[in-house]
Amino acid sequence: MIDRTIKRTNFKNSFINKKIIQPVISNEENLVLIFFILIIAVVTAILPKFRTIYNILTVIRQFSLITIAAMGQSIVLISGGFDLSIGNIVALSNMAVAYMMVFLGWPIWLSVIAATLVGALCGLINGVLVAKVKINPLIATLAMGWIYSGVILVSSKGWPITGLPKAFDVFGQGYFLGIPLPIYFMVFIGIILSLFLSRTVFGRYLYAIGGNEKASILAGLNSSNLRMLSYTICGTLAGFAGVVLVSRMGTAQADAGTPWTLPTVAAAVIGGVSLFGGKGKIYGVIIGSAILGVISNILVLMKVSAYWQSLISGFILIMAVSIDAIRRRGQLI
Amino acid sequence: MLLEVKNINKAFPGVQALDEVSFILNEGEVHALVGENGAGKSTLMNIISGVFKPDSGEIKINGNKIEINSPKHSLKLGISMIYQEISLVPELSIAENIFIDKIPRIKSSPLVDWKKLYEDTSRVLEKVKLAKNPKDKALNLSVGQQQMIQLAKAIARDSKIIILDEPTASITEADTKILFEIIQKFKSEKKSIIYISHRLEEIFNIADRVTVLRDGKYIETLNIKDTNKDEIISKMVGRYLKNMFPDRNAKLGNDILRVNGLTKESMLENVDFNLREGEIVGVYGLMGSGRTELALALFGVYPIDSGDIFINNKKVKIKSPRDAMRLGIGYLSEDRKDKSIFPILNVKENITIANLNKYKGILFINNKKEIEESKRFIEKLSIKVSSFGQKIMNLSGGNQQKVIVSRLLAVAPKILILDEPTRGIDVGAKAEIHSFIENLTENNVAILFISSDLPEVIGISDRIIVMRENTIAGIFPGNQQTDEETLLRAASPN
Ligand SMILES: Nc1ncnc2c1ncn2[C@@H]1O[C@H](COP(=O)(O)OP(=O)(O)OP(=O)(O)O)[C@@H](O)[C@H]1O
Ligand SMILES: [Mg+2]
Repeated sequence: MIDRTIKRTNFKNSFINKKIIQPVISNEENLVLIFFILIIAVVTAILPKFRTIYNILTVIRQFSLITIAAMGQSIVLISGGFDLSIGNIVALSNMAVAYMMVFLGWPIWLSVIAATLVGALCGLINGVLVAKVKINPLIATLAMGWIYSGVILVSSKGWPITGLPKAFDVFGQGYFLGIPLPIYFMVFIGIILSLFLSRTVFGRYLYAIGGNEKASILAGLNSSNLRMLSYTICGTLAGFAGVVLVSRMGTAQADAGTPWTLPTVAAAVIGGVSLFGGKGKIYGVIIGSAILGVISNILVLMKVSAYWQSLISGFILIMAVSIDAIRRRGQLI
Repeated sequence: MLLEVKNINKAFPGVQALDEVSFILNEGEVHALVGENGAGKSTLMNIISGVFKPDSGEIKINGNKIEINSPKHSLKLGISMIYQEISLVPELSIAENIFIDKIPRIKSSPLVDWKKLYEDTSRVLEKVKLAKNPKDKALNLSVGQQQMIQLAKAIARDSKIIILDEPTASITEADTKILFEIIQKFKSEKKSIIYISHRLEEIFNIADRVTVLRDGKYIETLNIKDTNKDEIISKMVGRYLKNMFPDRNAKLGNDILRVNGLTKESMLENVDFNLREGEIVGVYGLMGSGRTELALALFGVYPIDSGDIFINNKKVKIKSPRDAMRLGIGYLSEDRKDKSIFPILNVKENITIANLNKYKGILFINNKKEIEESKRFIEKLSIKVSSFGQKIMNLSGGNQQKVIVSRLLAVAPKILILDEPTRGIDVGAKAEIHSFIENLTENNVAILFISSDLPEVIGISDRIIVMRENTIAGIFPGNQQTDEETLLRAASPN
């Protein structure tokens, strides 16, 4: 008798578990979203300054560029790769766009396009090394990262480039309908990439080569071309982020964007992208990046010293991966 | 009684994998466990070996109630499981793989006693009749050899209960024989064996009792002596099954594939054969005879060194799987886990990946079309899934195989190379796949059917190619006209 009642309640619990809680928490992106909403809720409650539209827009603008790079990183991660040169590509295109305008006197539109293509070219080179020459992606992109940054340092001797045309400011500092342009860039690129990954044939192929490369070859996919494609997309996005970065800063610094490399990986992983490839969604990456951005803003508003930021970001990263690890714990294999 | 499981329940999202299952394993018996794909066999064994925790129910060993926490714990209790999907560490040596959790040390220092390790390994390797150097990496072992390594592991640990999950699904007759000898030896040492298989002939060969599961429920335990194949099948599928092999109605057409002097260093030597439209040619051979290499060469994975391939009398060059697919060749790999499935993609995505372009609109994949096509296959092959969105890695082994077969059929190739297509598939589904293949041939598709299941090769093929030592040892008539003995003799080295 007692046995039966226990069993029944068990059943009910497990029913709620299976039908309602499971689907929500079995989806990483949902989990991050919940976490993000929690943070926002707490912060708006205790920090009135956070609530101002002005502050919110500033925060979003601040993380929008690194998010664009993080989306590129995710594309590479999803297809089973890794890009350790992404920060250096940002720096290279940031110097390139300034150089083209200031020293070569190219028109703005041409320089913007050409510098973005410099990023694309870097990505393509990474892709060739990884997919054709078959160098381990960590090593290939680490080395290429040094080379990209070497190119900058050798040619600029570390000097910043100033004196950019006034009209160029609009990309990083302009507004449309009261909202900063970089936010539009992030949202627009996010939507395009989301559609690309979830709805197009090539998007699906990237998940496939990341999930099981041998199987993808036997299914007739050209895995090495796809892999090059993923690195090229990543380089292009990093290149574009670099261009907008100069516009926002007003000068091109030799090391601008260089520290972004690992944060882009962190944003992706917090957002549910798997380091083993085959898994991840763009909206998760945006939230992952937003979490890091909001936290740093909170610290500023609370007048906590900037030194704390890396400490806290580290904790969040550990937390994000732990949640994933814990969720997997029931299923040993 | 040695092991007793009682009223075990286990649910996964969307399915009750085990529903109040009980069964008893006696000392010194070989206990077969049968059921359709997805019946819950592997899940039950995974519970006994500590991989999964049951939702409820109890496990007793020698009358003592026990909660098994982990595979390690289960090993300690004297239970060894040989998994359906093999798992060795490729970069470690054979010796390290066997003794992975109890590498011998010099005295009690942290230093490895390599000499003892290799000696112990040689000793157990001898017991499983595997002539390999203990220092070799596990990397290059074939599926069958890997299985032997796992058995060696169980012997090294002196486990009292040994669970074999479809051990013969991927090994040849010769190895099956060795395996059965080892099992008999275990029996004489009073060890108990749980034996899962879809090959019922084997069960009559080796088991003392058989337990049938269906849809996660316990059906019955029978003494092998008091039952027969048809009774077991009807209990498994809940209905009567007519014919394992379909009648052949296909009309043979022209040569669609002709191969002359195919050679690839250390893999293939001077292979000649032809394949006609609508024909099923079986390929039989022992492990390492070159069967799979032949398939991979034709599919462009190992481009050939010399020789000619003609398709429809036109000479072709096949340098990659893409080339092969463009020429209308389809290939099903024997290695499901490593080379076929996309574990984290869902069922639908796994079915459509090889010809996604077919479902493409102007820019985007047409989700509706994709779903319709997947549905068609899921119904046609009765694949057991809870939804299209289910990840393929959460399906039972046989259902995964059916998904991969669907992927291949979705491409609609003219020449199909099937490497162990019914590996791990239950009797009912096997018959379905056979008749499906026969249907294809009625539409002029030509089939190269590689299998190490002799009755199957003999039953389904029009002709049978026997391979030995990287070349063709003989070509025999099919349709039950050649007996197992003849084929086995042709395949064995003199
Ligand atoms: N990790 C998992 N997550 C979700 N569902 C699972 C998981 N493992 C198994 N299942 C489901 O549980 C059911 C039983 O699967 P199980 O692997 O035990 O079948 P089986 O009898 O071994 O079949 P086969 O003969 O095909 O190997 C199936 O419906 C399967 O889809
Ligand atoms: Mg199974």
